[in-house]
Amino acid sequence: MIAKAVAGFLLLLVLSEAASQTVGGILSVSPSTGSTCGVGSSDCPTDPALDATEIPTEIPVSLETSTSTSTEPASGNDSTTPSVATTAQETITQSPMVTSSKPNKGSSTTRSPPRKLPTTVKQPEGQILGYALSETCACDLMAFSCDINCCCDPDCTNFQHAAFSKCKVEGYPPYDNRYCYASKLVFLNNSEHILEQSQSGAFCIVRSNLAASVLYPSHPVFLSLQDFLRHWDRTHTPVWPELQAAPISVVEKPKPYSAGSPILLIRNSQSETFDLPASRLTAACSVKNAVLYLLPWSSKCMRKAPDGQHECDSVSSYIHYQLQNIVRSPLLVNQTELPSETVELCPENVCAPVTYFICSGSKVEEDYYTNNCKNISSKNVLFGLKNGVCFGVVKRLRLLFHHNGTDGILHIEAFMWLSNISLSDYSVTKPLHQSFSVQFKWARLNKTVGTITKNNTLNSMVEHAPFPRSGNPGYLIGQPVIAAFRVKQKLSANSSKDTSKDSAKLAKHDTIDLSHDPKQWLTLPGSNMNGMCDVTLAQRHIVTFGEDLHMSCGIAVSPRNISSHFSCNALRSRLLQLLLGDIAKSFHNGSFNADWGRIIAAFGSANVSKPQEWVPLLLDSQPPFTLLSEDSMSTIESKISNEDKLSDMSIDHPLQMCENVPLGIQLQLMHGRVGSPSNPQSKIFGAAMRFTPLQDIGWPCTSAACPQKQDALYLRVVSTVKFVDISSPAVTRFAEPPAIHIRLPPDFFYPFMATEGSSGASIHKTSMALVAAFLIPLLFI
Amino acid sequence: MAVYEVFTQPVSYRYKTTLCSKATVVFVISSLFVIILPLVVSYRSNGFWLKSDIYQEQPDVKFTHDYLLVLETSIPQNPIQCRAQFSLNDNFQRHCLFKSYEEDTNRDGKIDFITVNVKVPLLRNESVYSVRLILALDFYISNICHLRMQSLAAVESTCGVPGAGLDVAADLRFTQKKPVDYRTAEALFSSSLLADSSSLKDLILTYSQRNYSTTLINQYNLWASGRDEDEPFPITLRIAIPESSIVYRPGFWQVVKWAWIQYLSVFIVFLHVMHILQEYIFSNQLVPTFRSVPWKKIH
Repeated sequence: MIAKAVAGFLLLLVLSEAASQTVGGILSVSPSTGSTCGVGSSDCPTDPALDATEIPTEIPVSLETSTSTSTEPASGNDSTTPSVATTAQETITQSPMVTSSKPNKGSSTTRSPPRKLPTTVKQPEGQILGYALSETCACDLMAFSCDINCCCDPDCTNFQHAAFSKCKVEGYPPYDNRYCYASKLVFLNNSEHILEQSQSGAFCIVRSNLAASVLYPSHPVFLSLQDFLRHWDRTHTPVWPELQAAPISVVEKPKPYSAGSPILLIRNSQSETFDLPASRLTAACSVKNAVLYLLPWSSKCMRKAPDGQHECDSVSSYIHYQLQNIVRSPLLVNQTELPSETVELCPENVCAPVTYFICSGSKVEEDYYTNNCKNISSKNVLFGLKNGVCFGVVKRLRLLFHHNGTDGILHIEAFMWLSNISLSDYSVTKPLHQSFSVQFKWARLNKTVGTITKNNTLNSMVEHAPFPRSGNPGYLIGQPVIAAFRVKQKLSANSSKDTSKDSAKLAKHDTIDLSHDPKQWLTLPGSNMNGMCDVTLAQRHIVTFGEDLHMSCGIAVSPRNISSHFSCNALRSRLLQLLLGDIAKSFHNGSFNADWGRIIAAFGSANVSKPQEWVPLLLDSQPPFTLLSEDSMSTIESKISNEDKLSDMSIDHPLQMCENVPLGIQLQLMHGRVGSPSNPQSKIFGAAMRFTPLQDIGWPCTSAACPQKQDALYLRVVSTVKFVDISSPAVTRFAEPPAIHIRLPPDFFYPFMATEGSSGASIHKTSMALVAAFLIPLLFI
Repeated sequence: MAVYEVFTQPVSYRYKTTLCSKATVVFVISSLFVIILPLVVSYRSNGFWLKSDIYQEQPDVKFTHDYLLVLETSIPQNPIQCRAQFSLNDNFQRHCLFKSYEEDTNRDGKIDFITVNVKVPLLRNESVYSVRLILALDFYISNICHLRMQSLAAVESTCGVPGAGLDVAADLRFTQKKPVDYRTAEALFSSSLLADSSSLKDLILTYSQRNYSTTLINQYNLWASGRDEDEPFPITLRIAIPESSIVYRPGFWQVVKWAWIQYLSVFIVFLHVMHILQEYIFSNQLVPTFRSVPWKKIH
């Protein structure tokens, strides 16, 4: 029955006089195939190339039913290789005109795929075709077991074949599309057939004389390690990085501190390095970074908020403990007897004394702003967990090491921003942010530790604070723009104590009053987190070189503030104070002209002894309003309060608008590069400050009772900074080319020249004509 | 005594014919053949007329100091917005601190990097999930074709967890829907984009439909998590401005020059072949001509 179906299914017509007498053929598949598996039917796995031809019924292949009649499957396997050109092949394929396949002649051997005797199969043709018709069966993935639908699996018996629904024949036999003919095993009704497919390109390989030319070269197996390593080195491929051996701390002779050596501390009578938490890949405090001597360092990281004894200690009391035990110099560690473990405190002669400053206020970014700090004894500060509250959590720590080179650390100043965290209300999700910074400062040789530790006031600290330059000599990008006051000599007595000593020595008429606090330089009003303008000096933003800036903040103006001329004036003064900061005081003596004494350092080195290196901060326009002096300000304040009471009475003529209110400031700076192009220095050539167009503020209101109904007016104060680079490209100058003076000897044309004694003119003319007669023909040669 | 060649001189034969003759027909047809066929060959092989060409130029980009910043917080109805241009009555926006810095590293007068630092003050309970920062740039190319326009550099990044800061590094690239015209296109799209747009949707839609625009490619976003409640939200954006490939429509003389080169190279081959053919025809007298030999005087 199956035989009939297949017989009807396949009709093999042979193209008689086609180019090859062996392979030409048309496979015609009758549409009534039913469920049998056959070439071109969807039930069978067909070659995708066949599908691509989109001729399901006629496929230009020669189909050999290996079928069949040959009881020995090896011969059928031989016929898979078409090998058109070989005569040996022809003998096999001389009868391709199988009119009809009768695969199911009953005998079970007809269905036997070539797997049975793979070793006995000889494949000379396969090698001719360029590949060894291998015995590998790609779908035979389970060893010693019959893989389902894997017809080439040698583990399958005929009985198991009967359970197959189709044959996975991909990759068997191996297929190389450069060859003209490729064979493909097709199982019709579980009996194998060979599908031969011609290659469609213009050129194809019929027979390869050198079969190995398309095979991978075999590589010898490495048997010796030398061999292996030699080839390994030759590969030059990136390999996994090897684990770097951790530096083993070698017990060596203690050396004095030098730049880059780790700072030691004593813990449990053992010396170890002083380290602080730092972040590595993420913001979390993941590593401990050793603090290195004389190298400034800062870190900022985030850790879990303390929720227990151990965590609380590690963020509060442990840091305090570390600070207490920092060794002055490694040389001292061995010389002195270390205290036993029971003794908590490190002896004074080994460990550096620490002065603690507790700082309040918000965490200001700038390190030099420590005005809110006050000295305190560490005994007065509570560290650690107590009653469910973690006291003394270090949110920010700034360490200032006063050192003396190789003599070691003299004393330490620790500025701490502390907070107390209750374990209950601080949820786990809220992280604790910590920031640390370490700075070093040369101690003055004549000052002893004792005098400094006694010196508790911070003002003295500020006086000796290192004055940060903004570049030397040219400005560096991102460093503060240095501004100062030009003080007339008569006023120098009134100048503040921050005046540097150099300026006092100045023999000029004017002195330059330079504050060492960058907050006293060019600052602009910043906003706090709520968006309102912050009047405190700490929140003002320092203008930095090269960076354009746009910032704004809000102020609320109540109707009372614009109710009268006095209050309007007060509002203007208040805004001016906000915009300019402390500089606004210089306006208050009434003079509002361009020569207001504000100057800007042209170079970042800010040399006060060179007045020519300072440029004036020009005022673009004088605001069209009069300002009140400081003493009149106080009267205004009182007047405003009076007016509040009087406002009910003066309601007949309320002002609903203040004119000419400065709501912004623009700072314009022109800078450029000077010096050689290889090392250019930035210099400020000019600076101007102008108020943004003055606004009239008020409410659109017509009725007299309007201001009372209104809420506070919300104004925006905008400050902008714009830097313009006006440096033209560097000019390359060349030296003048050397002038070439070629002179003939004076007697070179002797016979033609008129000599002094002779009668010259006629001879001269003839000589010139003769020269011309000689030279002109030369030109034409 | 050895003889050597001192001097050579070609001898030219002259083939003469009347106007109405077979030789004239042969001559006309072959001449037309030589002239027209190279044209056909070079035209049919594509690319005869140079319709677009490409060149590299680093654009002259300047930040116009106009920006738009929108932060989406945990409260959807309360996004944080900052912009440089605003009216006095705008109450929606926060007070951002916006810093920008243009860097010319090789000092060739063209800006190579634009660095932007923004600090957005946040309330203690606010957490940022998405950042959209749009900068308006002045874009100018001048080397072969002139094109000046206002363009945008837009960064959009979202984060699944509450962010504590965003660092972005990207390259600015010129994108075009059609080639830039050789001579025109000066001062195209010169109007201020951010000031004109009423909504972000309009801005993106109109901008994306422009023929010439800029985009940020090669973009790397790095979000930090775990916000410090006392600190503002920092955004850092660093845009590199490398050389851009600009596809342009060449001018007349460039088109003609390329066509001429192609025509001439084919024409020479045809001329040579035709010369051989004519030599065969006339020397063998396949068409009758008078052949004048220089050493024979025709009487």
